[in-house]
Amino acid sequence: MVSFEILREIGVDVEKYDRYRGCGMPSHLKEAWDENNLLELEYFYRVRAGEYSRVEEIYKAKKEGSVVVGSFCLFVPEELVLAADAIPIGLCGGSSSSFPEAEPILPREVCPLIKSYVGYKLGGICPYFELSDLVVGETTCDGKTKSFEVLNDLTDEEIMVLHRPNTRDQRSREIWRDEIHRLKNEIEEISKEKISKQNLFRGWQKLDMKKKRLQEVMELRKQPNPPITGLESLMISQLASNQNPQKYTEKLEKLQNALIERETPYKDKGPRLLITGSPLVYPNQKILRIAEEVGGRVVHEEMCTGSRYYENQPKLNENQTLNKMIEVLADNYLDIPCACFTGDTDRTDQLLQKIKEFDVDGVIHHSLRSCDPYSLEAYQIKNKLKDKGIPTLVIESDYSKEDIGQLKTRLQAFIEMTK
Amino acid sequence: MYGGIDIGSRTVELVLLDEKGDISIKEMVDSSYNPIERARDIVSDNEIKHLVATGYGRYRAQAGFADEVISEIKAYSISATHHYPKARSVLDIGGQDIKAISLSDGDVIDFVLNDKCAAGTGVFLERVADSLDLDIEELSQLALEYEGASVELSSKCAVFAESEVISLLHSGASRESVAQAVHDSVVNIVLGQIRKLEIQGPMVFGGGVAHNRYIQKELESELNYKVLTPEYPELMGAHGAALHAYQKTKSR
Repeated sequence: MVSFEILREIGVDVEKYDRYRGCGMPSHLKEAWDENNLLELEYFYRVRAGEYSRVEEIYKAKKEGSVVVGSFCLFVPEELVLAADAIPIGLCGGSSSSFPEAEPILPREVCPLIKSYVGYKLGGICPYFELSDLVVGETTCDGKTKSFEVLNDLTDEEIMVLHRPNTRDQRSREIWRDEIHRLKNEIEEISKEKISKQNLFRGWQKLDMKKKRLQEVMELRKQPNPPITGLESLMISQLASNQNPQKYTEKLEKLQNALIERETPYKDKGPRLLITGSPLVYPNQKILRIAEEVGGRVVHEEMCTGSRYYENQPKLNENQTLNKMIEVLADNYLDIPCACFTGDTDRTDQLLQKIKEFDVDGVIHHSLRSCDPYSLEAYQIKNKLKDKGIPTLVIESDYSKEDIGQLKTRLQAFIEMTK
Repeated sequence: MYGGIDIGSRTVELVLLDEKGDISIKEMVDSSYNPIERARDIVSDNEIKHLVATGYGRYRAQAGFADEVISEIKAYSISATHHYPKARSVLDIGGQDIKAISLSDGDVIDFVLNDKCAAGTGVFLERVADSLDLDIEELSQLALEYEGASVELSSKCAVFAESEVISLLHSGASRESVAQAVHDSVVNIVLGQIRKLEIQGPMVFGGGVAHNRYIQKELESELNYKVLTPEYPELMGAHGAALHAYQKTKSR
């Protein structure tokens, strides 16, 4: 546990932190942990439970001159942060515990992810927010775009907003490359480190090792009897963007070796499910947890806290110029299959490919309430998959508990139908 | 005997089938503040070989006394197909939710449930009936008989509809016209749900609201196919669960 003195020093409202932090081990995870006691999973469970906080580690690194760059979205390339020997960190936004802080300011029907992070910042609850020297926002949806204005107005947080184009045509790519250059300059300025091609290559290597390892672990779920459950996998993916990269990679490696020997933890051969849509941000696991409780086996998460994080890794090499490297990075990041784009929305084709690879019986399309990009694409995805004979369940939900009964009914009926 | 129990938000129903698969006992009680205990009470008086639970309380029943759980979607589909083997769809309007199910040869191929909101459900009708000082049968009877100019109820929310009803009455609308407006509002909400699916007839209409002739008649004329109501529409969940128990035990 992190000491309250440090928290107080970095600007956390300790009382609220103690009351509102969404961490801790929920009973469903405790049960899962008691049932499948695989030693190599212990680290992830403990991090999930909030036992291994990074606050102290980052606090010390900052004392020695490191800077911290916080973000909410995969469109912010961590490579550039690592290249400047700075610390990239994913910020909190997955729990309703901070809603009371945001509710006086934000409209009622705003997306829960936005309400959550705005609340965490306004209340001074999330230590990683307070540790950040720079917060990088992005214009991935209207709600997020405006939320950064709110935070700019109401807090002293340094926020830089990346302008994400709406399409992926050539002109848009040029704009986005400029944005990535702008980010590079900003990181150089706050870190006082020059990002050279050698630095960038090294930063990329660190991340590449982590992402490749994560991908290999997740692809073990292609097996007829997956050695790891969806709930465990989501727990691991949710931690990917805020753990110490080196430590996380080592733990993944050990886990990977252990999983080769492990028998499937699933008791029944329920239908194999793929979840796609809005991110399930730590600690929110509601949809996936219920899907498995009623007998499904979730074998893939096509979301920002899933495959979009570790797939489509850019390929850099040492012979490239710095400009070329940045171009490759920018282009790769723009290809992240987020629903916020228009023009070349090939998400269904990508899903079909995964459905084949992971032998998927049914798809759950989940959008957070008020998440327009995903809730609007749902009908397209459902209809296109239906033409290919793949059933899809469309679900809209938020961070509350009030719809758990209904979700159970829907998910159980979907699983009965998919069997 | 083979049992099915449907533990819903408003009522608990039990259906028991004999060795031939025919209904021998049926019971319905209010859920009250402790639906599981209510369910346990009505189950405990009977010898049941296999008990299948459905409805919102199904998992708690499974932890206590039921042998198996199935979703309400499946239970309704089994019962609907049993009553009408050629059914292509099922509609259930219960106390607090609306379900529309698309069937192919008795199998569920798609379904929708209303959002976490009581719009268009039994509770919605009850609330309005209360504010008009009528019971639910009287409300539907007024709607059926009213032939004057129609008024519109714009609110879809059970809570806000109540205040809209009051302001309609204050502005001079008759009780009959409001009764009809409320039913039309339910029909529109239900049609909105049904049209999310590629749904065909004949449709089996279950749940407590299926007793309402006005809604059944309006749905039939809007959908252009048969909307059929079995003898005990509110028991379809429990009946489907009991049939599942029967089929499963017999096929062993």
